[in-house]
Amino acid sequence: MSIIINKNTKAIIQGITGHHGSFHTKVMLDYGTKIIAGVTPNKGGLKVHGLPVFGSVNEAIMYSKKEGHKIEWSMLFVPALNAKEAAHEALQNGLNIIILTEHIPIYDVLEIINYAKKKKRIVIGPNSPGLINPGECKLGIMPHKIFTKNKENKKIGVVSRSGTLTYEIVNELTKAGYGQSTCIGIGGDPILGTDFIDILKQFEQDKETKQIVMVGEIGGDAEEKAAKFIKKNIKKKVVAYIAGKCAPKGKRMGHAGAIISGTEGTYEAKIKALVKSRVEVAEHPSEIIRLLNK
Amino acid sequence: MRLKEYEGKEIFKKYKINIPKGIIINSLTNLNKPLIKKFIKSIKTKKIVVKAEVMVGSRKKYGGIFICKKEELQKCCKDLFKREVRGFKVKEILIEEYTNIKQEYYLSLTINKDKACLEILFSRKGGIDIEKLSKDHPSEIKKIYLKDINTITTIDLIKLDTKLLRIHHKKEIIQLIKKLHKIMICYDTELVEINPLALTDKGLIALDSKIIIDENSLYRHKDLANSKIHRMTELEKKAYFNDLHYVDLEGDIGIIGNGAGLVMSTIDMINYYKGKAANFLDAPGGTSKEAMKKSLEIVLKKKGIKGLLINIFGGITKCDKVAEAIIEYNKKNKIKIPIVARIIGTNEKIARKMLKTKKFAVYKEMDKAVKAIIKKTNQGKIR
Repeated sequence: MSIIINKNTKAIIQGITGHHGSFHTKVMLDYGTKIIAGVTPNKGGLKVHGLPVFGSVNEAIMYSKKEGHKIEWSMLFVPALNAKEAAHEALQNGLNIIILTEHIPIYDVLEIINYAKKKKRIVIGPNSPGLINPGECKLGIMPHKIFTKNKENKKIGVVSRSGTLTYEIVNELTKAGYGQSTCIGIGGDPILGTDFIDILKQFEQDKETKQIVMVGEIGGDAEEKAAKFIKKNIKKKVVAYIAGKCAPKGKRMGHAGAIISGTEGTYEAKIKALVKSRVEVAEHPSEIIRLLNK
Repeated sequence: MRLKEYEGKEIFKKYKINIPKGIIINSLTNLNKPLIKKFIKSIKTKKIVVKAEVMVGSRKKYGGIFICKKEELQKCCKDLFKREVRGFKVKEILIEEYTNIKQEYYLSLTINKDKACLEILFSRKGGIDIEKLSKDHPSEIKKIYLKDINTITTIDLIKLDTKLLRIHHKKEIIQLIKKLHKIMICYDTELVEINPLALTDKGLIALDSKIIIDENSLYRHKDLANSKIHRMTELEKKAYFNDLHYVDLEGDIGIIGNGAGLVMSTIDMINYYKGKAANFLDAPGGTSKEAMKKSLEIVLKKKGIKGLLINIFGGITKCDKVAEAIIEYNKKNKIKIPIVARIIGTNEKIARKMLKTKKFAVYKEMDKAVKAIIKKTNQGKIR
């Protein structure tokens, strides 16, 4: 068990002919992820790493059906300005989507999320590194070598707003003998399809996940809301780390969502909320292990 | 990106929202310009409002807004230019005619991030921060969620009508909401706020403006994009045009890393060990040699920098390429300050070996690298 995806999950890649799309398709295929086809408008008929490329999502799905595959997910490696259209197409065809694209205009994101709600589909991202169930399935761009399944009873579920910072933390976990059930990057944008609470809920239910690591950052109030939710609903141990303690006000720290505006989004407010909910808070990434061991 | 008050008011003017007559000056000598003299002469009121154009809340409370007589204007502006308002230097002053206020309302349109919809906030008790307002008078805040993002529907209007029952100038407020909604959509804004919205003999007047534009949509608003570039520091501009995320900070240890979260975390750890970062620089995923060299060039230009910490977790980024870039850059430019590199991930072993051979301080662990750069910069030794 693990959450959201498993070894039977099948996916297509939108934007498969692009530089990143093509590169990561290869890496995911090598990892064992079941990618069935790719989509790039006007480029139907090509082949990328042995996979057929179609001009539309619909054609890709028809093909997969004929080959006996049921597709559930699409990963979007498309430029920001085409993301809304690509997302609509996938959702319209009944797929859940993972949006890796950064810099999508905010009103486009709103439209994507509202359309997904209507279609009852899941959106992960935008600006997400994807997710991985070590040893089973990877729908993402993370360096999978550092992730481990670990046969012992020490599995951590990781949910994060950041990419490389998650790798940093997972690397520490693996070194310390902790395996991971699922690691998911929900994205660095201010408005996200899937938030901390959606994932925490599933980690609580998941038998494989023993403890939870939550990685947040300054900006917005997602961590405060998660803290409230944890207090009421999560019995498993949660260790949190928040990046951006020393970030100045009003400056965007790389991620579109990482900005302190007025009194909202400060490091102090997040820590206060988490501590109040009895969440263990690490001062820096390497301290997470000590808190998990405690 | 938050617009300055007068930039927001310019937009209000375009949408025929009433604002006080005003003019902006950026130095005291501006007051002698004919255009400005003429404007001040044209003000009919005895009193004049002088506002520091700094982007912080509660300006009045922190000495950023004055009301003075016409003849005191010169002195008042002189004082204000010397001031810092909540830590921000006053570089521009907005001079406005005085408005006779009967009552102050609060009105804003914003994106509700959880519900993924637009939300209207209104209160009869305006003039104070919305955060304080929601703390002190939560029952006074009327909240209306719009059903559709792109239009205000008849159902929304009926809801508005009932929510604003017994509020003076209800019809005018609803008209105003329609205009603000248009601004939201046309300018891709995350927030449009009027606080205070003044009730006067002449109707409703927007005494302040706070507009936040979505930066990802700036390509659709070229004039505002220029305003963003205009307010960057020199190094921030340079980074921006090279597709690097760079923010100037006040310390003396330069930082280059990959990934926003990792760089923030590095800055925090520097601080934890009693050092201070000079900047935030996030080199994009898949960092190329060229991007790395550009990053070095930008950070090393920072004034007062005593050392440099490079923190790379290679996923798509190949560590050996990063190492090559550092070595090549150093060969050409002879870096004179201490450098510590923390390199881990794809091709890490080759990368660390390459750097070690060239006598760079290289680490596998983040905290060791952070401690090392702090030690080196404190002693001021040259590598």
